[in-house]
Amino acid sequence: MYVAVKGGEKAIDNAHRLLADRRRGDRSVPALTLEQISEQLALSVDRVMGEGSLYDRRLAALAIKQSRGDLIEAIFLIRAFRTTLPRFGYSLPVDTGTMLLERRISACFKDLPGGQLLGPTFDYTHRLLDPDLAGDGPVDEGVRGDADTGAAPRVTDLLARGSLIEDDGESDPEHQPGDLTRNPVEFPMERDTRLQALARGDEGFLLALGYSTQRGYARSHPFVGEIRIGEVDVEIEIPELGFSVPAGRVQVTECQLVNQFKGSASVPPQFTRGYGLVFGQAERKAMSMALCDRALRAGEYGEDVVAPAQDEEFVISHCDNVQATGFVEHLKLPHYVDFQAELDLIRRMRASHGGAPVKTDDGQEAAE
Amino acid sequence: MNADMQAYAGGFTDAARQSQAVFRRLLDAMAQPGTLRTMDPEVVAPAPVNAASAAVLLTLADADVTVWLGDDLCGNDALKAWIAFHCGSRAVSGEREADFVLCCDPLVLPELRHFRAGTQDYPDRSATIVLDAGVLSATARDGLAGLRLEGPGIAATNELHARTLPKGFLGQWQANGALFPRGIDMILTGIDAASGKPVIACLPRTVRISGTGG
Amino acid sequence: MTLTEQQNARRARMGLLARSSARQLVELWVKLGEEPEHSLLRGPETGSITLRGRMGGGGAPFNLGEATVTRAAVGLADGTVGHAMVLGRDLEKARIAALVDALCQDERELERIEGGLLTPLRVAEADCERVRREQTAATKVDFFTVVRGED
Repeated sequence: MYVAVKGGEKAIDNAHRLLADRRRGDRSVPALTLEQISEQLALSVDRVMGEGSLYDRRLAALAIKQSRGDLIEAIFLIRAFRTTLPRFGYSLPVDTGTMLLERRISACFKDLPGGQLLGPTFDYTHRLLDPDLAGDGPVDEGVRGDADTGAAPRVTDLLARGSLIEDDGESDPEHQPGDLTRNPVEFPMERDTRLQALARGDEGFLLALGYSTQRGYARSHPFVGEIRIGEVDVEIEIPELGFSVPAGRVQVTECQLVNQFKGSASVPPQFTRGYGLVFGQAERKAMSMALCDRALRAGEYGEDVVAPAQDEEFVISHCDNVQATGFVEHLKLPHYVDFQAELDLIRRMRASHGGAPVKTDDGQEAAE
Repeated sequence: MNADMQAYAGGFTDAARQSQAVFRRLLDAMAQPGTLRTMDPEVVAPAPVNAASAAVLLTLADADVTVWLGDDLCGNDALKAWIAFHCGSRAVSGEREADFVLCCDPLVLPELRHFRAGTQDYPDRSATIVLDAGVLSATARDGLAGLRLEGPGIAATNELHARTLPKGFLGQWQANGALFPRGIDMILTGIDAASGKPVIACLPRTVRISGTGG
Repeated sequence: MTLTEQQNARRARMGLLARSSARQLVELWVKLGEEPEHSLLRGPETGSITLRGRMGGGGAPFNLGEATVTRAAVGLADGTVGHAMVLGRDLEKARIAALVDALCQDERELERIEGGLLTPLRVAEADCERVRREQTAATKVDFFTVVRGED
């Protein structure tokens, strides 16, 4: 229990001012611009947009600046801001199959229509620090190639033509997908709501859980069917027009995992799937999301729920870093009365335990 | 003004402030069932929707809710276009899917049991009916049906008089009350018999209603 | 739902305006000359829309997250209504896009705006996209599988 305390206004004001001062740092160093953050720390911006669950590069850049680069604090700022926006509606589902690709790889097939496009990846770098980047030397533009690579359909659509892999499933056009920003969370969840929670979930948490499934906690033996990064069109239905219009493009990362499945009483052996879709360029996050999505589908395949990553309530209740931060950081709030009670209890237990008498005065003063 | 332009006119001129003001009155009206609250904003929805209903709809209905139109309104394309533009709400054809029900003729309103009453766990997932009762009055007047209200928010009893109410309303309302904590809430709209201004009165599910015999 | 040819053209136009850079749009708009008389029926105002994806890429929809969006509706003196719904928070971009949408419903205006505004936007977009595609294409790989020999 915590109690309201009064006072400290002056100290708080001064703390805010000191925060602003430290945020600015050495005044002889030029201030960061939002353009610099958006252009040069683009993947931080992507993470803040994804987990803040609001696509707006400039706002995310501002949040990063304001939070001094503390990304979870920035995500918190974005979440707070998004609550002030009136919601105009819902987009049509984006079509990742017609994405303007920047990267597209598959670990299942080396030759596939549209080809393997590495794009701007860290994958083949040697992870050696580059001292040249400490300066502002000229940087070459990307090499141009022959852009006529033809259509690049989703790998899972190619695979689905056989029946060896689970298809995307039927969708009822009347069904409205669950929305955890509008309705209280209920367990068990539908997969649609779960994907929404995972899409805004903490990258580190989902990464660790995904990793755990590979290490044997709910072994699922995944292959990367496909990862694609690029821009998709966003279409919005305008009720007064009676048709939908394209409102612009957003960058997303999609990960399709293909998992071995030995079959159950009702389902023959086949490949099953995990799906990840995240704002921006966020490959690690999309893969982690897909690993967790597959693990959480245990129930659908009649698999035993034996590992943390398969436990829906555990994963979904703890994957939101803003929620987690709130509860962890609330421990900083005054718990004086609580603690006094505990202190008193410990003293009495000590006394009845027959141990040495405890000096009360010092302890009490320190606690207050 | 052509029908097309009519859809774009008549909304709030200062949405934030005006919707807050209306919302405040709705809260008060719900907290003190049966009391009349004036709806000031000069809003205009296509006929036959009255100004008070229009203000309520503009305040409560948005893209996250569904609106079901009564049989008197469901063929009214101008109204549908108006709601689409100003509220963005999804129009539904089944009354059980409705978050909000708009009806201007109490005599064609389906019985309350046809609407969603929420669930035991989520009694808030129920329909709210915005019903045009024509004329509302705090005191008895010729041609108005009297209701005696009791329940939370009312010290002893309150009286509300309305020109038109659904057939068999008292019986329906009693059945609605028996569902508690589930149940339908109702917002009656109309013209204040005394001032002639647009006005609302609320009947939350907690209120018990009997006739005044007047 | 099948749209008429006119509706399809309008849709494509609104998409082009939405994707355009605000700076270029304003520049071209100013060059087109005086603004027509109009009233703002709504906005420009910023809010959010919830973006949806599909489970597995092609399955049932789910809510991916939100995006900022700005919308505007304008009415011309003759009663023509123009709409805009553009991602981001640029009010002026949305207002101009709505005006362009309104004007383009008139054949003669369309011709003028096509040459002075829509074509340059289309060219800029195509250039930008081509660079992106070509740069990505240069990273296309052919993996060679090293055959594990039996002997």
